[in-house]
Amino acid sequence: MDANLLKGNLELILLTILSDAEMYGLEIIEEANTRTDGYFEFKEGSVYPALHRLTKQGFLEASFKPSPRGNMPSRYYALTGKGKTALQTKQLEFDQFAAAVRGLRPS
Amino acid sequence: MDNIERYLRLATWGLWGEHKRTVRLELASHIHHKANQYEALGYTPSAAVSRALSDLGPPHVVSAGMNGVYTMPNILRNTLLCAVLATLGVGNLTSSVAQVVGTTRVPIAECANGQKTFTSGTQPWPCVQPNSWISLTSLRATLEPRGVKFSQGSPAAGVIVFLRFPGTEIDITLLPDEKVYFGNEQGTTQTFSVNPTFISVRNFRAALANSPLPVRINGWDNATVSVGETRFTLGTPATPMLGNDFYPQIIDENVWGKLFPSLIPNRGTNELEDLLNLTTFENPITINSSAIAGYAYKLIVKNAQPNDVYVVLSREGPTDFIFAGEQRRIVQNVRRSFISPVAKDGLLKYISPSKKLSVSTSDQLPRCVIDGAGTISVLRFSGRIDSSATDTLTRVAPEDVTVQAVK
Repeated sequence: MDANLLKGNLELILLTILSDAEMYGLEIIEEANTRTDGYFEFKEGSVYPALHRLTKQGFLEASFKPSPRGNMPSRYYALTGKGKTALQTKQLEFDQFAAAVRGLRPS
Repeated sequence: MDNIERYLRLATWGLWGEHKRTVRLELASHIHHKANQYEALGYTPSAAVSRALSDLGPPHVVSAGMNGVYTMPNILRNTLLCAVLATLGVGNLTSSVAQVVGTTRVPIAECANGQKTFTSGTQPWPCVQPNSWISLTSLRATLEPRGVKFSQGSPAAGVIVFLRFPGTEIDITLLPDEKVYFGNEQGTTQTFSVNPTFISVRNFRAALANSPLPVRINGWDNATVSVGETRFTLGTPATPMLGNDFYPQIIDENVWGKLFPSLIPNRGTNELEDLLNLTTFENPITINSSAIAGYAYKLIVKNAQPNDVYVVLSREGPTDFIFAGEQRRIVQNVRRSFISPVAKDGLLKYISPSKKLSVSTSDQLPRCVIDGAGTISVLRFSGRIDSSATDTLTRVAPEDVTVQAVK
């Protein structure tokens, strides 16, 4: 897929995935791949700055917890109330945008 | 030092204190878990780590992104950077676009405890450092008529401003320098307050890097910025924005990305070549300067174009580079980049007053010293600096470079 499209919607993607449950970075990436059959070609390292940005904006809260996969703790992210509101707004905006683009197609 | 440690250092480069520790632990955990997955698939431990690092992508992308989030002013870093000023003839560029008022020396700063200096390592550093600052009031007055939407973050989160440029529904976040954090090598943080109505030009640039729109920056002093279709100039003739305060971080981020593959020989070169235009870096032009003690030298690039930015470096061995201009701090065998724009006469000049080749565009400007006169390489960094970090780093042809003695 177009890298710019992914970059422009990365925050929406992350907030959407985290709307179901708290997850850590690798889990989020795997979840995105699983749900979309690998449609999103994440460079994994680009996900973390986005997660930190969303946390700084107050849309996510983060804390280190023991990981089921090993000894090293993982940093889990969870949606905040502000994040839920932001997700609804972003989803609505995206839906409106997508509908508008579809409306441009020749009938 | 193993590959994981090397990656973590580069990926957290520029971060300090708690942020650095958090990012480091998070990435280490990611690498550990991913490598375990690959080992379970039959990879050897070293191959598993290599695959895990490859999946994460170039560390400079992580560090650039994280620095964009935490937007520390990096004053210490830029003080260490011995960059050279030269003014480009950009007046004609700025005449047709809106100009944002700024100042080069906002009188901020004492450390919170009243100190005039703080200590990092064994070195005392002044709490007030040169920087260029943008007036947020002027920024708003300039950009709002051009359709840029401003909104304010919650007071609890500090004085945060969100900007939405025409052409996107995604905000970028400005974190005015209400508080400036210094971190030293021990992770101790010192804080002092600054004027919240200004934002440092470096923080502004870092915020722009998060824009989904293409961001282009042209010119050295009073650079012209394009975010999508919106164009404006940072600085005015009366209140200039100095390129010296603005560009080093951009150059560092991009050059580091291009340099990094040489430091990680286990990485797959095909992918990195494609990603970072490595081919130009693998065979840099080398000039034997033969500098002699007591003589000054000019390094001249004949085909230099205004707005081009040059990186001068020397190479030691197959994997170690020393960027000219930074002799104090060595990170991963790589010393900081020395950068210089092209002077008004179209020439890139460096002057060497001794056998230790020092470089400068004029006697009034800071001098930089390379360890030993040895070999130097000159690479041209793209004339248009793009925050997407996909710009090319091209070699300067040997015939276009001469080293001349100056009496």
